[in-house]
Amino acid sequence: MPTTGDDPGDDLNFLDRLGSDDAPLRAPAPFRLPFRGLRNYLHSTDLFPALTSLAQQHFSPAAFVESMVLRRPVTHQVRASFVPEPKAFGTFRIRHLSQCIHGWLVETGVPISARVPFDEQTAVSAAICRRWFSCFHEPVQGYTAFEQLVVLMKVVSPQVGPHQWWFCRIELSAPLSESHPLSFAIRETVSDRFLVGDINQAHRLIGSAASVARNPGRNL
Amino acid sequence: MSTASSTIGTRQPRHETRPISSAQIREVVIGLDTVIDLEQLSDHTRFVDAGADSLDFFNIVAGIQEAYDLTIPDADIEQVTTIQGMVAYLNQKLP
Repeated sequence: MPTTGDDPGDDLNFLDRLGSDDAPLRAPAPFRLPFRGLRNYLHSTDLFPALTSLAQQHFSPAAFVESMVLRRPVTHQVRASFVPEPKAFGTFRIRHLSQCIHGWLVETGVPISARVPFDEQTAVSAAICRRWFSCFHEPVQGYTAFEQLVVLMKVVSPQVGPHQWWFCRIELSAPLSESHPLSFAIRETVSDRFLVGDINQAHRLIGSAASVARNPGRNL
Repeated sequence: MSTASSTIGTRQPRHETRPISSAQIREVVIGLDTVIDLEQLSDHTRFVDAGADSLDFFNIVAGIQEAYDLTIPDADIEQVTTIQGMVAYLNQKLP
């Protein structure tokens, strides 16, 4: 399991402590995720909480998803791996104390049969949008912080280009809080087809997120 | 696959003087979370030929823009598809 730590001895200590639990960490059970609303692909708002649960169950309640990168849409169930996977459609990192655990996301052949309703419009309506900036005054009830972040990105992205935007990356230096309002500010764009912006919460910069314009029939 | 969390934070350009070197560009690329095979990435290899997908390429361009505090317009994108191309472009455009 690739790990990096702030201290040279962290990895060894971490692996020692894992002991016999190391095996299940190497092969987490595949997720059982539903489609949301009318979508026929898994959404970042499905994958991020699944990885957060994985982090908290396998490491500790304080562990959080420090990074998630999605390279293409997937339409089947997904499994996470803690060993490099050449066919991964995405990668992630889990922060657990001083350890950083690298992971890979792999699409399986298992079809997705469940579907859950999802009303995005309520959060969209609550979002405040300015030039290259969006925010909520208060956390929107009924939506996770990550769902709210994706809504903020969705409402501001059309300012960069009139595309279908695809969430592709998040990097966090601290876990998203469910109790503070979020804001998102675009800080870089490329060819009006890629944007990256800062995530602020409780007046603090806690990370960045990126979206890319999605071309029908092409990966991303 | 390289991984790093260098993408957090508002634009913090480097204060390096010209000429920009390929090593400096490579350093930016290494700091990004890409699937590029860095051993295959010579100065003249197109990023895409070293395994980069469109997301990687956008990440690289955004990372360079941020590092050197400039914007690479759409019309110039074809000039920066290799490390050497990026070096030449920056040395031409930066003051």
